[in-house]
Amino acid sequence: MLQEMDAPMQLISKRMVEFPRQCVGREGTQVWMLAYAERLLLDSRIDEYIPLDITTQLLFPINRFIGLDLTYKPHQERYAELLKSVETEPMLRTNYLTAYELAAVDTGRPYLYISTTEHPQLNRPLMIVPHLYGAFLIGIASVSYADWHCTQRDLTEHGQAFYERIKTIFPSTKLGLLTLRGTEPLVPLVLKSDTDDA
Amino acid sequence: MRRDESYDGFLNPPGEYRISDEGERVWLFVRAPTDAVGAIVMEPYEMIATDRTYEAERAAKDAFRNGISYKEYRKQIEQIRSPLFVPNFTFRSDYGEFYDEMVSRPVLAVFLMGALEKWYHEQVYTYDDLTDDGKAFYDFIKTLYPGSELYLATALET
Repeated sequence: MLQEMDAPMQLISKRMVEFPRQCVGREGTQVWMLAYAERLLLDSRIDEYIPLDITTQLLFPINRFIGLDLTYKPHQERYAELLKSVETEPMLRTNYLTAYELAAVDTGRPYLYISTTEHPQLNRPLMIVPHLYGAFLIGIASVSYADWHCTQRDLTEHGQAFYERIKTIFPSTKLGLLTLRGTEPLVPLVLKSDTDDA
Repeated sequence: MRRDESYDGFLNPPGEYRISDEGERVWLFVRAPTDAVGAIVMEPYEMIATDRTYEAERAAKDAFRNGISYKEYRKQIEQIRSPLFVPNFTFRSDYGEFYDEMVSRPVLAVFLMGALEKWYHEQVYTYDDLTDDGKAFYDFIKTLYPGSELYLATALET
């Protein structure tokens, strides 16, 4: 089965992510390399010199979340706990989150959490990835994989070199690898013409 | 070796002359060749312009100073920025209000190229205002994402 994105154009010239060989569906997968400003993640170091307005953020609906390497282990453990606690009902009615999503929220801080920002066309909560010097789409596939999320071990030589390069540009950069469901944009872009007040 | 507190990154300001104590921020945006993939991010806070739109934005500002209405000026700015940034109807607060900043069209990457604590550049940063390392990084990103458009956005920290 086709593993790499079969789009008419090649979006990324170098293969940075080694996706698994076996796929399970056609939902699509994308991997983002995140460069966090670590000093902003750590409250205890807040007195250190940090220029203002030097970070950006990513937002995406929680149902797109597969894993962040920085939180994946506690996420999976919490997910298992939640599944045990609900046993026959994996959908937790509170907050309309599935057990998988709730586990992601419970274990995401400080790297990601539920945002108060809303999207006019989405009915699922948005997750926010804060305090980023930047983010890079480093892998995209038209298929999905069972229980797979990207870690540093899944980077190719090119991916590893890029990872090391990004780490050295700014002070206290912490890198993360975010794996999301789907190939489409993280949220739909809404143009003025799509709105009632156009 | 880079100093621990250094955020000047890849920036090579055109001179020693300091315009003010407002800081400068320069962001690299990699505009996806299609709207079918990428991330939507907020425009940098207090963005002046991008390297690709600066001249047109300056002309619009001159026209505003010479008498066109603010509404017409904003319309021109929106049109000039539209290849990368569009008015925000994508992200709104839980109070139901859309944030004032524009949002990007889908991008494959966004990255801080540098942050200076003074305002040195009279215009906006372009490729020529990057250090050799900055140019090498920019060139690498350009080859990494073939078919994408790169923009350098300069913003002020106020």
